[in-house]
Amino acid sequence: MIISCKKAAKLVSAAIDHELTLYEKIRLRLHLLMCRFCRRYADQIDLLHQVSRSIGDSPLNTSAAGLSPEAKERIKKNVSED
Amino acid sequence: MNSKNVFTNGAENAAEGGTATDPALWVDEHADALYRFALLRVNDPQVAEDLVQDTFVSALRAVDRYRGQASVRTWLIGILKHKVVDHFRKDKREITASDLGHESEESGQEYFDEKGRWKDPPRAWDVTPESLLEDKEFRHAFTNCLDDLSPSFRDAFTMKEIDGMKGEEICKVLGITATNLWVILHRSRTKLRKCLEVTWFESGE
Repeated sequence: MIISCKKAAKLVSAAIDHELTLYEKIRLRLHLLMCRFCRRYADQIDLLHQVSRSIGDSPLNTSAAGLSPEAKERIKKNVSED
Repeated sequence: MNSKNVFTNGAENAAEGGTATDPALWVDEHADALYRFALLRVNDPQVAEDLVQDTFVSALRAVDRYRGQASVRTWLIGILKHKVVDHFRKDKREITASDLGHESEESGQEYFDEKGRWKDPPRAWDVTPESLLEDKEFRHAFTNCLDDLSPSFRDAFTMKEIDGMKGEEICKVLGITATNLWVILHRSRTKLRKCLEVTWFESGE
């Protein structure tokens, strides 16, 4: 039985989180061979998987706003009072 | 309490070039980085600030145990990570039945037709992870799309995809089963992908 794109997408995601059964792996691989949309989906999900990890690990994204000077003073005050 | 003594006693041997002996200096040097780390994950400036403060308080108390085995920054981030997870644990919202959907509907209807085919197939993206990560605007688009997820989905996605936590641990933190988690992650990934496709990849960037 040929699986649908909906099922294939679910398996693509599942494969990141847990081991697929052999049956599932084969079905997914066959579907991806035949379906360029799901191949794109799989590539893009993998891309986001890598990007997410890097964003988490990155030297803390200095383009984002940091704390205001007032906030830092607040923290210093609260920390030294503790 | 003379906090300067607490610091010099504990951190004498571990201090980096002597700058690590004053809590105020630690705040100056590390607070921004800790704040950004927290804000990405908890999506709330006040909560992020509180977690940063709690981290410094804990660090002060634990400074005797810091032996310079990692950089001060890494050590502080380690403390902060635990506080972020504690926040997720305390803050876990009721994950409703409608969040999880029925077996046949998981991340289904909005994206696929009744035969399970794509309603709106994925476009081709012509990028590498590196090219995306270099782009500050992409990071904004990414966090905006992340913020679009419902809070419990966002927390689960953050723990799994951003921090690489094990499924088992995430389930404990959120009080859900592994199957629940997989459904949540699938929906989150699909939604995030779609959001980025619309806001980033298709907007002429």
